[in-house]
Amino acid sequence: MRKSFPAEDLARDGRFRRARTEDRFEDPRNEFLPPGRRAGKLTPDRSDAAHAARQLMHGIFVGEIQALEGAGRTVWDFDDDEAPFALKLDMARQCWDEARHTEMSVKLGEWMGTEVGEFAETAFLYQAACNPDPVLRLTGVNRALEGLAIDVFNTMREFGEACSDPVLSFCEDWMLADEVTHVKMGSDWLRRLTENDPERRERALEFQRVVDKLFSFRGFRGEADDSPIQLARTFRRMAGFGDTEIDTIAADAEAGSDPEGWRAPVG
Amino acid sequence: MIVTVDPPAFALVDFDAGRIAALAADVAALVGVPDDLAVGIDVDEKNPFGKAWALVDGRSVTLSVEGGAFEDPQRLRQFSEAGTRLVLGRLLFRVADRFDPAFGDPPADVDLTKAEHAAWDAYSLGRYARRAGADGGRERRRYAFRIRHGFNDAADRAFDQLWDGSDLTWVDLRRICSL
Amino acid sequence: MADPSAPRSPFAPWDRRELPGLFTVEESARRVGHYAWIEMRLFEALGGWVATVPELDVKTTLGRHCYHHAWHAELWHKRLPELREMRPDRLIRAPNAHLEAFVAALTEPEAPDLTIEKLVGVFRVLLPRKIAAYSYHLAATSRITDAPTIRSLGFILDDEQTDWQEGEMLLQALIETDEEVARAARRQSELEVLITRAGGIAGPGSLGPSSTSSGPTSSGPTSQTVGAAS
Repeated sequence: MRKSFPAEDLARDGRFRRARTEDRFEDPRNEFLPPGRRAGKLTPDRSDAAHAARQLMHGIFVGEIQALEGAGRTVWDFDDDEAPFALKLDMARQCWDEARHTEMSVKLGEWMGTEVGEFAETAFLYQAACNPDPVLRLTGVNRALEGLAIDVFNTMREFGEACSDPVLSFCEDWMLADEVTHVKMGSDWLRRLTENDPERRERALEFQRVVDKLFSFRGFRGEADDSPIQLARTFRRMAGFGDTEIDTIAADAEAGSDPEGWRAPVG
Repeated sequence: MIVTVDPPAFALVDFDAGRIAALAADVAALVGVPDDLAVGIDVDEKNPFGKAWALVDGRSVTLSVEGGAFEDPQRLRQFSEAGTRLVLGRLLFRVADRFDPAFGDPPADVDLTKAEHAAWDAYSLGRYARRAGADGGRERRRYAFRIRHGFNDAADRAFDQLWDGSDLTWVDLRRICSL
Repeated sequence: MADPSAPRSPFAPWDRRELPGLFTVEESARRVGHYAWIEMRLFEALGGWVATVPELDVKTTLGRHCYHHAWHAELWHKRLPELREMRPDRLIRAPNAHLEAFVAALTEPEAPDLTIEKLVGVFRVLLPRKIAAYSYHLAATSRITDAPTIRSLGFILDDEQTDWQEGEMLLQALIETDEEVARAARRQSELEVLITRAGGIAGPGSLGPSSTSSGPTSSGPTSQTVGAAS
C-alpha cells in the first residue's frame, strides 16, 4: 500500500458520484450570484428547509467518510520519526470517532429520507488531509476541517431543535462533542510539534487559513444572517480557538464572497 | 395543451427546452390537466437553488423554476429527467386541483401557510407516484411534512392519509392535518 | 458477622491463584515489546486501508478496529517501563525478519477490488495468531506477579475475539463465488507460510516450547521460559 493516497482514488461503491472540486468553484452560475446572495441560514422558516437539511446531511455524511479516511491515512502515511506514536494514537481514536459519525450520518440520512449517494460528493475535505507535512495536515484537518464540523453540527443541532426533530438534535449534539475534542487534539499537536519551530507553525496556520477560506466560500459559512452555516463561537472557544482567531475566520468568510479568492488546498 | 419554455436555449446548464416541454406535456396528460390550458415554464438557469412554484391566471399557468430544481443532484449542471418529472408532477397536480370544482377553493399560493404547502405537496406527489409508477420519495416528503406538522404519530398518520389519498378536497386536506 | 480480629488469609477461599509462572520479567518484557510492535503495524495498516476499500461497512469497521489495536499498542507501551524496560523502543520491534516480511506482505494490497485479500490477512491469519499468543501468555504467566499484564490481556483478548468474529462475518458476507473462495484460500495460504516461518507474533515460542519438546516447564526454543516459583 502506497504512502500518500490521492483524493481521486478514494474508494466508493457504485452509488456515489464524484464532482470535481474545481467544477463546483468554477460553476459559471457563481458569477450571477451577487455577493451576499446565499441560500440563507438553515432554519425551518426557509421554504426549502427539508431539502436543504437533507442535502447538508448528505454533505456531512460524505465529509465524515473523508475525515475517517484522512485520519486513517495520517496513521499510515508517516513513519514514527515523522509523527510521534502518541499523535498516531490520537488519529486512530479519531478514526473510530469518524467511523461512528459515518454510521450516525447514514442513520440520520435514512431518518430524513435521503439515500446514500443521492447528492454528488466533492473530495475537497479529504484534499486538506493530503498535505505531506504532518503538522500542516493536522492543522488543516483538525483545526480547519473539524472547526467547520463544529459550525455545521451546531447549525444542524439548532435546526433540529427549532423544528423539534428529536433525533437530529440528539445526534448532532453527540457529534459536536467529538468535534470539539478533535479540534483540541489539533491545537495541542500544533503547539507540541512546532514548539521550537515558529516558522513551521506559521506555515501551518497559513495553510489552515487557506483551507478555512475555502470552507467559507461565497459566505457558505460565516456570521452573516443569511450564511447557511453559522460560525459557532461558543463551541469554538471551548475547543481552544482564541477570539482573535475566530474573528479572522469571520472576517475571511465575509471577504470570501469573492469567487476569485480561492485556490486548491493541497500544499 | 400548449407548453412553452423560457429560455428556448440554455447557456449555463445542459438543459434542453424541447425536452422540458415534452416532459411537461407528458406529465400534464398523466395528471389530467385540462387540455385548453397554456402552460409556460420559466427556468432561471442562473439560479442553482431548487424552488419551483405555479401561478394560475385564468386559463394560463406559469411554472417558475429555479434551475437547481431540474438539475441532477449527482451531476453538476446536468438535467435530471426523473427529478424534473417529480417537480412537474407536484406542480401540475396542484394546478389540476385548482381547476377541479370538486376540490374546492383553496387560497392563492402566496396566501398558503408552509404547513398547507407541505400537505398539498404530499397529496400531489403521492398521487403522481402511483399514477406514474415512479418513486415519489415518500420518506423525503414525510420528513418535509414532519418539519411543518410535527415529529409525532399524529403527523405521520396525517401524512400517510395524504400520500395514499385520492379524491380529497381542500377541506379534507385541512381536516386531515387539523389545520 | 465474623470476629473482625480473627486472622484471615489475603486470598479468599475460592482464589486459587499460585505464584509460579513461566516468564521472567525479561521474557515478559520481550514478548510485550513484540506485541506492541505488531499492534502498531496493524493499526497503521487498518487506518491506511480505510480509504482504499469501497464497501461502507468494511470502511467503518476498519476505522473502529484501527483504534482498538492502537489502544492495545498503548497498553503495551505503558507496560514496558513497568517491566524494567526504561527504553521501550529497544524492545518494540519485530521478533525476526520473517515477521517483518509477513507484515510487508500483509499490508501490500491496495486496490479497491482486493478487500478480500486485506481482510483475510487480518482476520484469518493475523488475529488468530494474536489470540493464540495472547491466550498462551495468559495461561502461562504468573497470575500473581504478572497481574497487570493479565489485566491488559483480558481487555485485549476481549477486543480481539470480538473483532475476529466481526471480521470473519464480513468475509463470509463478501465471499460469494468459487473464485472468491479460492482467492481467500490462496491469500491465507501465502500469509500462513510467512507467519509460520516467523514462529508467530512473538517469534518461535509464541505458543511456548515446540510440541516436540517435553512440556511447558522445559526450556523451549527461546530458552527464556523458566519456572518462576519462589
